[in-house]
Amino acid sequence: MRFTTSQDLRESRLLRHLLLFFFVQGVFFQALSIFFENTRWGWVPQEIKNKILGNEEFFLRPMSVEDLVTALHTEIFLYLFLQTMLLLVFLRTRASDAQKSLACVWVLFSLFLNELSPLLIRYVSENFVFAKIISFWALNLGLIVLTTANIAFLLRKKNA
Amino acid sequence: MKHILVVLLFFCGGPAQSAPGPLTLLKESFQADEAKRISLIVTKKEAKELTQSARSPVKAGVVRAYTAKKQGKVVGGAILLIRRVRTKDMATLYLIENAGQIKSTEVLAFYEPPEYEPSDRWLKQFRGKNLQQRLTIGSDLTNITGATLSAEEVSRGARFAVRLFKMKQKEFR
Repeated sequence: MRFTTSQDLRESRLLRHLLLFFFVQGVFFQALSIFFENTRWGWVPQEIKNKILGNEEFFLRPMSVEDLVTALHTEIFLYLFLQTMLLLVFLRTRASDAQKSLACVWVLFSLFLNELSPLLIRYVSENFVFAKIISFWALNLGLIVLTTANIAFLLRKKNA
Repeated sequence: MKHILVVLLFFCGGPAQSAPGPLTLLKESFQADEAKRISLIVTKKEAKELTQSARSPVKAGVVRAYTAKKQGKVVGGAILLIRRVRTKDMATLYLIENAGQIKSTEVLAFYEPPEYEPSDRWLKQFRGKNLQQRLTIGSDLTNITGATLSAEEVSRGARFAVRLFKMKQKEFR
């Protein structure tokens, strides 16, 4: 985490390459996550409801609390790690303070809602299924924008 | 646009149901004129007893069952069990005659890859089995090569179903 204290991340060639590789792999992780979302929760409202609440017609049992917690626990850690890295680098770019604030709020809030909504679907109302879908795509869109901005920043020469 | 729709339909497909509903199966199998759903409650004490006799873990709770009547008389019943095979569930319906013999076993839904699904031919070996048989893979039941978990789960379910049917037979009336 030494890079969090250095003034310009592009000063060290090694650090720059390390971060570039990390972000490229981050893109790969995200691409897989989008497909994994389909198998874990589903992409359309009915599929998500079937997975979490079960469906008697199709002999699907509701997701157990244990399964729900396990799925969320892993997801929170992975996304939080990627998101923190992306935001830490983004805060060093030349983006305006307003853009930086918006990025932080957007990504943090969408992750929070994405992880909270399965519990809300299960225990409050099935209508939170839309919050799940919107927050998932908002989170991934935010992460893609941040990754692109960070890669562009790291590839640009220091005085450019 | 057409391609996008095809891709979306591919990813948005809902779960497939591989067999007719339990009530239809029950009516056809017992040639009954009436079939209805009932709920069997398994208490903690009963669950413990069933775990020992069926040699498989049983949790206390509600079990979905069905009863078939012909001219007002109960001709048989069915017990629906939804169990996890490896990471996904399988719904199996055990149709049981009044005497406690298994009439047939039907897999109603199978969410693991289809190559692990027990075939109809393999399921036929449960016909006529009752409490007297061990209902164990390797003794009176053959295994399915490459789908041992599915075979084990169906046989565990059968051991439980015949015992539960006997235990709760009054509730099927």
